Amino acid sequence: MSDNNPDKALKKIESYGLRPGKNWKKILGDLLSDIAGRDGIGCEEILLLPDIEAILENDNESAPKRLEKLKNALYKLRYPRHSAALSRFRRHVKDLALPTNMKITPIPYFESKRLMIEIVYEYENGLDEEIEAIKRISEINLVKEALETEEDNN
Amino acid sequence: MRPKKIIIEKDVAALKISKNIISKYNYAPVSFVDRVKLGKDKYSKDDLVIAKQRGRFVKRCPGTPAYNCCQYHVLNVGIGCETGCTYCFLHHYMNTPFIVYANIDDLISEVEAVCADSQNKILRIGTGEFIDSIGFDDLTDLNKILVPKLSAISNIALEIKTKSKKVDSLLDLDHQGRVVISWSLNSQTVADKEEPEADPIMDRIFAAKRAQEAGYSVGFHFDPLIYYSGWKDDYGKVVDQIFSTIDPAGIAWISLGALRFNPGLKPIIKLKFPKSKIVYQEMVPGLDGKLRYFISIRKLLFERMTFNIRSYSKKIPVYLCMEKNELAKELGLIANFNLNS
Repeated sequence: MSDNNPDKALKKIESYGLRPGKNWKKILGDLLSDIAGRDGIGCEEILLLPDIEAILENDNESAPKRLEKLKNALYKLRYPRHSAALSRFRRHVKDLALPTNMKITPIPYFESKRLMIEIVYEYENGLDEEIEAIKRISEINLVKEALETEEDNN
Repeated sequence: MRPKKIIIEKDVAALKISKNIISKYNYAPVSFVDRVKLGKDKYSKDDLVIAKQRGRFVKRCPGTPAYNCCQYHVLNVGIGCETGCTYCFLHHYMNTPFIVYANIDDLISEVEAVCADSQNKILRIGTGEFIDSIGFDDLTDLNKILVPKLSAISNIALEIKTKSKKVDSLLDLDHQGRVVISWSLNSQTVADKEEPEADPIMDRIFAAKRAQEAGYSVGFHFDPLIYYSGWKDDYGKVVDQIFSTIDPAGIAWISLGALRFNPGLKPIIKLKFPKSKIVYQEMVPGLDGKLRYFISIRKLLFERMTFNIRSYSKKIPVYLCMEKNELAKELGLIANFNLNS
């Protein structure tokens, strides 16, 4: 039986010089506990995975940066499909080369096909570039592309 | 159920259903109260409360915000279920006793009034929201009253929803073709792990066959569909079993719903059912705040199930429970299912 209790693993994270506060401990603990429960392994074993260990051992980066990277790496393990969809979405958005004053955001977890487009507009600059960008956005179904289903091995 | 204690409100103590329950469990001490007040540590789940429903028996299914709703009406005849499914929202109410509402005449009058108010519509009303509609009969024999009485209403479709094989007491009832007995189905793998006290899947399907032979329409709810290694083959087998046993012409509907629950249920499931893995799949907050499978997993489940069902029948209404209409449309399924469209 695996040990889902993340306490020891959190202690180990601290031993690398990271100082997660209460909220960080909750976030990391939940991710560790869920991964351990799903995969039938102990929480401490997760910290031995090469990607995770590399983040913990990287003394060249600040503690807050390493905590953020650790969280992202654990999130990717816990939510692989959502992480992959987000990466695909960001890649497609990058390819659109939007002006810097434009931002495009999906509905959280892609629960809807809708997208939110934000433009910071200044009269003096006009909107020509933004209109061209919107045309480019409309030519690709970003949500569909992001959710492009990977092979289901189950 | 084997209640350890029966608590009964004086207002309903003289009613037939109350007397029947007390005589059935004559070993259990009975206490009479003016009015039951539920509260923390007042009662245990082994207690049986017989009370008067002072609110509404019939309520529109609340659905869930931001997702579709099939305009179902919930008939609240009591609370409690013994199938102990790991994913059931009733675990939120950990120390709630079994509750039976005994003022059935009021219930019948209310249903008649609700249906009379919607003369031009067929109302789908079901008892299986807070109870197992057949399991509850062990306590109350309620279906023997409800089926003949409510099926006399011309614009009703009464749904009896269950995971039980015990249909015998229903077979000879006068249902006038207005009662649908429906079974909540899953793969046998899921049933073994997550529905420990429910009847095996094939028994449920055979019970549906018997109900169909007795002239009932039958329905099936694949809800909650659970994503796990082997789901595709396992669920495919269940669909095969349905269509090799049941006449498709007599299937009123099949619904599909993927596992979802309030976030507060997650720690309860982890604590009560440490062997269950259902909370560890890729579940994210939906638009209603409930945890649900990430959309691409739900799509996989629904697409496959739709394909399986449609390979046998193109006609059976298949709808999604608590999903976005845009997803139903994408899959060629009914958005906003109701019997009037």
